[in-house]
Amino acid sequence: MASLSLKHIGKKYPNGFEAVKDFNLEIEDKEFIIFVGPSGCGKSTTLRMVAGLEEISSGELSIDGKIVNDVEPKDRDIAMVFQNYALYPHMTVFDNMAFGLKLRKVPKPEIKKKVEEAAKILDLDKLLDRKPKALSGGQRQRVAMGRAIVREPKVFLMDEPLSNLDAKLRVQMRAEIASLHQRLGATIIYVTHDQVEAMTLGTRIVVLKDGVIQQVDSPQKLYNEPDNLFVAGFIGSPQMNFLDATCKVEGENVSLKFGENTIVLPPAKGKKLIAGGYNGKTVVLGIRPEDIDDSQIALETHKDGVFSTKVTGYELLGSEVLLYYTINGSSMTAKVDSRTAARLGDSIKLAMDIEKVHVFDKETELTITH
Amino acid sequence: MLSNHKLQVTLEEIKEISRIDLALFSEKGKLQAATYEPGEDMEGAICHFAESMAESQMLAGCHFFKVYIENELEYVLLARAVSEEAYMIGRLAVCQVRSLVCAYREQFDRNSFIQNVVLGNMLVVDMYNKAKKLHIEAAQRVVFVIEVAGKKDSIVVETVRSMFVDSTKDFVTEVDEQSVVLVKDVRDMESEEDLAGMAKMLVDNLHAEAMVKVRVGYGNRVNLLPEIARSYQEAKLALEVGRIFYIEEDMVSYGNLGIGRLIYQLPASLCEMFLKEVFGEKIPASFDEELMITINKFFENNLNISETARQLYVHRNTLVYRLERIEKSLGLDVRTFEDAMLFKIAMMVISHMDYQKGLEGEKPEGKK
Repeated sequence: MASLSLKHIGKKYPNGFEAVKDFNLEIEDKEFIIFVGPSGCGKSTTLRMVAGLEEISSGELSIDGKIVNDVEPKDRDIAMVFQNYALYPHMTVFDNMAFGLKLRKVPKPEIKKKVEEAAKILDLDKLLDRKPKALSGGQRQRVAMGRAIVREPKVFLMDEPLSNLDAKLRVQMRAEIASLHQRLGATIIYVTHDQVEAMTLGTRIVVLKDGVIQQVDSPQKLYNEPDNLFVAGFIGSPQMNFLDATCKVEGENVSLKFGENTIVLPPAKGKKLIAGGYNGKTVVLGIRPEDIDDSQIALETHKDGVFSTKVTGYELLGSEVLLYYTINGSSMTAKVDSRTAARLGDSIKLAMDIEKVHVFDKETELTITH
Repeated sequence: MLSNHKLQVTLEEIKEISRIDLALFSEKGKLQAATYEPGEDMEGAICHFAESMAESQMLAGCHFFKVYIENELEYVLLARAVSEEAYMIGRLAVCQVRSLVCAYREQFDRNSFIQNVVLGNMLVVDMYNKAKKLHIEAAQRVVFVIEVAGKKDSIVVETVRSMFVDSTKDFVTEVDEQSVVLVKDVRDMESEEDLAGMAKMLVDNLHAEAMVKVRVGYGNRVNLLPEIARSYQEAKLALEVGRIFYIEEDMVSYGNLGIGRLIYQLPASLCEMFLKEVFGEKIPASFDEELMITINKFFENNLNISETARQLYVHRNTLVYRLERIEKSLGLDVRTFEDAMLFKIAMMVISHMDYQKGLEGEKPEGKK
């Protein structure tokens, strides 16, 4: 396996469109890196530049210390898995997996060994004689993976490989890819627009927007300490709530006022707002739906974060309920226990866990509190 | 011609099963393939046997057989043993070689037929007669042209062929050095999404398997054989127009080229005149990146401000401010349909002119 280094990588098309801008990233050996972002953010373009399927307009790409900008894709020692894979219908599972090696004139005994090894890893060893028609969706996806594994590449590149599968199979395959990473000890770059996939699979996640890296961090850190408004809004489902609030400093106490409501920030967060000179300024308050609660315990524990509102929407998810309401013109969501007494149209009190409140600069959209 | 390598593989496989050595000569006595080393003096014996009336003969410890293809003597096959079993295996081998050569010839015929159809090199009457002979039935078809960046190697064609090898209704062929052509029977692909899915599948498979950058263009559906040439031309045009207006796209459909197809055909003088009408004397050389992303997203969302703001992860007011900035600098309020349309067309005309200038720059001096 291998390490990769992307230094100041950029992609500019002849029509002037810049798909990727100054992309810098060091990928360690055996890392599972996820590129995530909305469509058109440059994640697939970056992956294809790593693959060699897209020319690099500027910057330097190295695999294991060797610059590969001008190396042909087939000589980069990589393997790719894409969304729209197609198995060769007339070939058995064995032949499907061996096809790429046969084309490259790999000796037969070596092909046999590699295919059998890959089949064992993927639990396909009993299906090697079957034709694709006789396989389930998940098994077919595993064969597609097998075609990449038999190449024994330094790096696996996966571009939304699960997007064509139904929800149930996706969850199952997600777990299989994670365990495959463990078993192979492989370096994997995985592109997805699905933040759940990103959070569950990656050792590190690269969040992209408009061709620019927004943040590179572990899933936990991205969720807990987003660097800016975009990352805060993109990671987490339902999305983080945002509302404009006015910062008020009284001695060491810092409070945020929104509409008729005021919450007091914990001292550690307050200090950062004081240091940044935000007294009297409008900032963006961010709070995740799961950090707002209507239970009696929450209202008592987070007294400094209590506010009143009226329920405008109620969605039962099973174990949880999503309550929708509006504050100061901003639509908000709270994820509460399904035993809540709150119903559509009720006036209720909610409490924010003030330790979990995020505050962002309104102009720069960067975090103030982390 | 069928390669000697394929004949050799066939003989070896038969030998592996039967343990009888086999050799195949041309009717002139030239060795084509063998599982053992026949003596050098065989040429005379072969020619003598070829000229004789016998269909098979036992000579010098071997069974000799004649292999006829379409009533013409093509090969002489030798089974090296004198037993009954060797005779039987020899006859089976003759059958196998004959079927192999016939299948190859038919395939070769079909390939050259489809090449001529794609390029429109055949008279309609010849086309129908030949199609009948080759058992090619009328069907709704679409031509996909797979354009390979850089040098095209055999892996690309092999990969595409393997995807469609079990379908007798689809044809994979090559008519130039840069591309592979797939003539696909699309009777079971009713929607446009199915066609786009097919194009995407071709791109993804070639990227993963052949590891070369490819772009796929495809034409409209056609029902008659002579119309296949039109679908091919459309697919080629889709790739050409796509290079100008949809450079980031891997697959381009002729049916979705929209206004790009119209602008592609405009002469430069008309383009310049149009740009002057829209922007006056100050035709912008380039646009602010953020501004272009904003406008493109705004157009993608059919001028819907709320949806665009949501997708750009900006506040609605921020988006309105950006759009007002555009109005100030260009004099076009892209929130109105009229100005949005003008701006979109103007941007495409600029791309077209830039592309044409680039092409002229590439031409050698003498050809200008």
